[in-house]
Order: sequence, then C-alpha cells, then structure tokens
Amino acid sequence: MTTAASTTRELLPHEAYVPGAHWRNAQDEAEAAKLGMWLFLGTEVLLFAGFFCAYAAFRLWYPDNWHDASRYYLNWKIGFANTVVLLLSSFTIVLAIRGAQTNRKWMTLWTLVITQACAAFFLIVKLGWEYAPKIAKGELPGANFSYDHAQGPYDHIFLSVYWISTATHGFHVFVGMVVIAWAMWKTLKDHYGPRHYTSLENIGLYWHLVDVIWIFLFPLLYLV
Amino acid sequence: MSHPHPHTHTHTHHHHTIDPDETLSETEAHEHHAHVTPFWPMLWVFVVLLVLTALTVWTSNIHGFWIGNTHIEFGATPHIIMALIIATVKAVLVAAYFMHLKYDRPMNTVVVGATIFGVVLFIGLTLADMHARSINDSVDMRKIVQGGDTHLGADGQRVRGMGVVARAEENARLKHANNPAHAGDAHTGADGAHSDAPAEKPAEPAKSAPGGH
Repeated sequence: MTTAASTTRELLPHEAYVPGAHWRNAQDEAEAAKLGMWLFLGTEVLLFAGFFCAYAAFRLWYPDNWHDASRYYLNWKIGFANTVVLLLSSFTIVLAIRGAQTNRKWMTLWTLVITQACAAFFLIVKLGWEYAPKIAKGELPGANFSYDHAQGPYDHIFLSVYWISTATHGFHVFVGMVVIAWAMWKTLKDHYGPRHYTSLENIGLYWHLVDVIWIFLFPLLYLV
Repeated sequence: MSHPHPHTHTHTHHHHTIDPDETLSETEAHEHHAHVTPFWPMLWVFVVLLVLTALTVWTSNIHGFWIGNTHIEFGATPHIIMALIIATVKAVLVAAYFMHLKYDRPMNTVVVGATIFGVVLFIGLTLADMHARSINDSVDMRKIVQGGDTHLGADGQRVRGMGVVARAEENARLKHANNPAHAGDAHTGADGAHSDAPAEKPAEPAKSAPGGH
C-alpha cells in the first residue's frame, strides 16, 4: 500500500496501528490505558476485600468451628491443584505478551491456548469436584444449609463466606476466559505486535489479579 | 482501516521506514513500546511461586515443634500469620514481575498502594470496632438458623427472632449476669480473656438464651 515505500505487502493491523489523535504517541496511549486498568483492578480488590473482611470477622467470632469446617468441608488437594494451574496460566499469559512484544504471533496464540486450558481446568474442577457434590449434600450457605452431619453450629456461616468468595472469583475466571478468547481472535487477526498490544497487556493484568485473589483465598479457606 | 488516513504516512516516516517482514529484535521493540518482558526472570518467578505454594501447604500441617524438652504448640493464629505472609510474598512477586510494576511508570504502583491502604482501613477498622465494643463473642449466630433469624417457640413452630442487635444485647446481659467477675465492666471484660480460649466459654450463656423464652 502507500504507507511505506519498501513495503512489499499490506501492513498488518498491528503494524499500521495509529494511536488516537489526542495522544502524543502510542506509548502515552498504552500507559494511560494501563493506568485505567490498574484503577479498575483497585475497585476489584476492594470488592473482594468485603469477603475477606467477612472472613476475618466471622473467624474472630468462631475460631474453632471455622478451623474445623475448613478442614471438614474442603479438600486442600483440590485447592492446591487449582492454585498450580492458575499460577501456570499467569506465567503463560506473560509469555503471550512477550510473544506480541517480539512479534511472534504463534507464541502468543499457543500460550493463550494454554492459559485458556488452565482456566477451563480450574472451572471444571471447581464446578465438578466442589460445587456439584456440595450442592448434592446440602453444604450450602446460610439459610440454605441442609447438610445432615454438621460439624459445628456455625458451619453454614463458613460455607456462606466460602460460596460467595469462590463463586465471585469463579465468575471472574469465566469473564477472563471470555476476554482471553477475544484476545486469541485479535491475535489470529494480527492485531497484536511490537507496536501495539495494549488490550492484551490489560487482559494479562486482569488475569494476574484473578490469580492474586486466589493466592489469598486458597490458604485462608483450605489450609488454616 | 483498508484506506489509511493520510496522517499514517507522515507518522511512519517520522520514525523510520518499516519493513514488515523483518522480525523486530528486542532492542528495536523496546524503542516502539515499553520494556520487553524477559523470559528467564519470569520462569524463575513462576518456579518460586510453585515452591511457595508447596511451602504454605507444608506449614499448614505443622502442629508444633520441640525445643529441647519443651513442646511448642502451634495454634490457629501462627498458622494464619504464616499463610498470610507467604500469600503476601506471592502476591508481591506476581505484581512486581508478572504484572510488570517493577518495570512500569511508578503511578501504577501508587494506585496499588492506595488500594492496599483502603483494604487495610476497611478490614482493620472493622476488626478494631469489634474489639473495642467487645462484641467478639456476644452476637450468637447459632440462633440464626435455617429460615433466618428465628427460634423454636413453645408449640414447636418457628417464630421470628428478636433480631441480631437485640440478641447481642441480651446475650451480653446474660453473660455478665452469669459471670459475677465481669458484672462491673460490661464493655471491656470479655474480649481480653476470650482471645485465648475462644470457643467453649461464650457458648455457655448463649445456650441459655432460647430456653429463657
């Protein structure tokens, strides 16, 4: 086309990317988008802080029952497996961004595929090995608790905190899968390259946040 | 997009002519955008995160240890503190390396700092308030059972409870009535003694509450 004299083919979308006219340059645009993403992540952290606050308050009230319920209702091996796949997925999405920065489209695409597989593993384990048996046995939050072999008088409160925090987190994993699928499509269509990968980077930030939340949820719910 | 704006022309010329078939080296990519994510440091961070995950599982199973002939019991509080320290180290590694804060403009870290400040205020003030008002054990959630704040009436039917606040006051009153040692200091007596032996003691006065109705 007309963009550069030495060009022998049309420029790919990421090569032809031009920042909005109100930005000095592409880097300012990318940095501003990233700052906005961080502000959004701040609100996400405060959302989960509500659940951690409930955890702290109820744990202060019922320390022994809380500890017993954690050991009785949750299997640390499931939480551990899910922690490992989330950490792996965080690492692979870092490599996806590296792929875009160094103009390796297939590296970006395949690392996103692995990230997506990890997210799917997490949700399948969560729904199939935790939520489904819990629903079947009546290990449900608050007033819905109908499990026959309760270990203590406050089991339903522990399960309330467990369900609301893990379900909200699980929903974030699902949203992550949707936006990562969108990033895979953008990668296929050559929208990410060394000159432009802003949305991929922000999706990465979001995904790491989901990982960080789980890093706290796992020991607090499954281990201590 | 298929017909580039005339501005595109000047823009690309301003930098240098692009040969789209040439793979950019890391230094060239650096010129165009920010810091290029390095491979090996990220791999090491990933390995350290896995090790820390194993460590937090391992520490959660330590129930105590021996110093000479003395056995040190490891209660719930040391376990929570250890788990939180390990989780915080992991989160800092993810934020600094995976989330690129180490390489970014400092404003993003300022946002993170403000967020952490908000979280500390939120949880810290809540716990401080519970502590200061000595309600660590006086709201007995046991009676908030299936169906909400209800209790069994004389005829075996569920009747609406008195509500959480009134119940907290009632429990506190009963607790101090049953325990003459605390009768004088209604607001400061309970929690100091409570934090050491939490579960059994407060359960006693609470149980008597529904019987009283």
